[in-house]
Amino acid sequence: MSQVLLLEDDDDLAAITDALVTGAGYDVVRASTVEDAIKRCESAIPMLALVDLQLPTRSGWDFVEEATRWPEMRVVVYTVHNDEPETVARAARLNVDALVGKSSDPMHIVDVIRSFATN
Amino acid sequence: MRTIKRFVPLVVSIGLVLAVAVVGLVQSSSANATSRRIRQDDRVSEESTLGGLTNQYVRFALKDAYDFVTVTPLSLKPGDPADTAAIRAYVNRTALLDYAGALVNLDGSLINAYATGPSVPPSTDPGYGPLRAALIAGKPGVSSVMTSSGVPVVAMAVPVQVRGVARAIYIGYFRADANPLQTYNERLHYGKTGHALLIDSVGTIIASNSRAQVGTKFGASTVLSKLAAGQTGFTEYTDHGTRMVASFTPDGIAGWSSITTQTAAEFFGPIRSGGLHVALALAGLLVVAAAALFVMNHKRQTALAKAYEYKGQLLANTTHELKTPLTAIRGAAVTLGMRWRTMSAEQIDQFLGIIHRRCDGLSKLIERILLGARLEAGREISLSPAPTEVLGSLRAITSEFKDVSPRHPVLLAAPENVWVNADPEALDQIVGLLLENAIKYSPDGGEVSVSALDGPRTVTVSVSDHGVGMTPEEQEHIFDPYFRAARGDATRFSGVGLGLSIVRHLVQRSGGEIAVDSTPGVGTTFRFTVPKVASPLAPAERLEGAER
Repeated sequence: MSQVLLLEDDDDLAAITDALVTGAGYDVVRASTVEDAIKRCESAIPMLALVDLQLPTRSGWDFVEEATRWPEMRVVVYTVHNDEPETVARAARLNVDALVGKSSDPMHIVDVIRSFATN
Repeated sequence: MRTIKRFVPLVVSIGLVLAVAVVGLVQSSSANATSRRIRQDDRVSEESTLGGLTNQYVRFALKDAYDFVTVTPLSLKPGDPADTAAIRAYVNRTALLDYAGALVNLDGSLINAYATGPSVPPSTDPGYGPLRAALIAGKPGVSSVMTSSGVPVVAMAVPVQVRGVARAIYIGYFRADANPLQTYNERLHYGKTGHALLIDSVGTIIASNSRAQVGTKFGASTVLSKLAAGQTGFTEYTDHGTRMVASFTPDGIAGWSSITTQTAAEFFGPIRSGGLHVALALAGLLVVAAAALFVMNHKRQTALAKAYEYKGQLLANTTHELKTPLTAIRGAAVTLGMRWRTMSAEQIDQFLGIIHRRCDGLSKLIERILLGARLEAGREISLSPAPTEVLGSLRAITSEFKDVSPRHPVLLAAPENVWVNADPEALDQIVGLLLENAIKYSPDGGEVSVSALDGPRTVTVSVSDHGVGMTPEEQEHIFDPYFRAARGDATRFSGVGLGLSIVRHLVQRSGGEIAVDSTPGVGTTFRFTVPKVASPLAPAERLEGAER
């Protein structure tokens, strides 16, 4: 089963995204810090990483930069800051595969993951 | 002679009165002119930010399309199902709400396409003009707004190169009335008559907060000609007999521009009424009017400037704070709606719990914003000071925080049977907000300690953390409303920036003082005082209380 890494420190949002993505047939691995997410990728590279930006110790951008070590993994930034010019510019600069707003339709993220899986 | 002398004081008085009045009038009119200029400058600067945003969106979209054609292996064989699948995946994957994608030969003939929305405009549509011109020049291009099946559509195109040579063109289509820029513009409102518009190179409206305008032409030719000359600025014009103002800026890409419009009456209204005040006041008592006018104008300018600043900060800080709980509530509701049949009772409870808890959090946040606004507006809040036992109060509030974060143990040290004259709820709120702050700014965890020191007239309560700390400059502003110390990444710490401002108000209104002591990388201690009172308990009760 395709694995999706969910980097999210908000337990509620993690539970919701986990339920939606698991329900769509993917295997979800959760991480709440950048360090934890890196460890997960080092042990098994997921198909795709869903990355929140506002995290307790290090920002999600640190993980996005680190993710170049695993070129086969798609990186989707999943944030409420998606409509800020700085976020858009940084996402473009760091070559993220998609920038998706958390406040859009919750099922949208499942569609995004599906489109990568079929690609 | 004597008669004339008798009138000298009166004449001098009238002269002085007139002089004061003239000074008042000059001050008032100069203040009005300044205020008018500040508003215009403000609007032009907002406009430039909007322009920058569009520019980045368009660049991002073009880069994304370019990455697609560079990274994806495309056969470019007519109707190849693998190519169709690749286009479908690309169209569906981005946050840019693309609805169609097509591969065409350099002569415009179709190779392959995938669409989820209305049909795409035929290649004869004049809207492709700017896009074609860009492609001929070897650059990626963006079309004008075209109408297809009654829907306004914009196309973006990038060349598909095979071993460095352009072999085909990838065209991505998105709905002009349903793209992120449209959503963004819909959120922008300038008064009751204002509009935020994005227009293409030939003046067709791509996005507007009034959706009905999308696809129509922008009417003010003066603005369009200034934009065509690459100018950013502010202008007044007449639209169907109504005096209007417009600020505008070219977005620096694809010939697109941002424009905001508003009726001049609304935009300048509060400023122009100043003239009326002056006239009425002069017609009345000159001395009082001139002085009053000066004071009034000054106050109005200050209030206006403060209101503008307040509005901007409030919007920026609260939007994200509201978005997160709303996202959780919506997500939990959608998940429950879709999957409740297959969910376990525990899972259903968990999701209902999320909705409940996040709604509570949202109400608390809104109450805090309202309290902050009331305090900032100088409105009184009613406190009911009463003899309150310090240790008991602190124990109650710290115990609430014991389970908030396992990585932040909360320690308490306070003397027994020390009483202060304070509103118990306010005391709870002060310590609660300081604890919340201490935990938030200690991202690596660490002890948070609360202590009370008994003094002769006051009790000093301290809340300390081992968090990120603050520079002396940050400490100077830490109690200002909406100030959030810029500690590293702006997206790192959430918050509205009201907590410490509320704390300071509550401490001061409780008759105490607050101070902060902080070192970057070491930690922060907030100390506040509360007026002390004698123990209301009889000696026997005190003894009993102490034994318990």
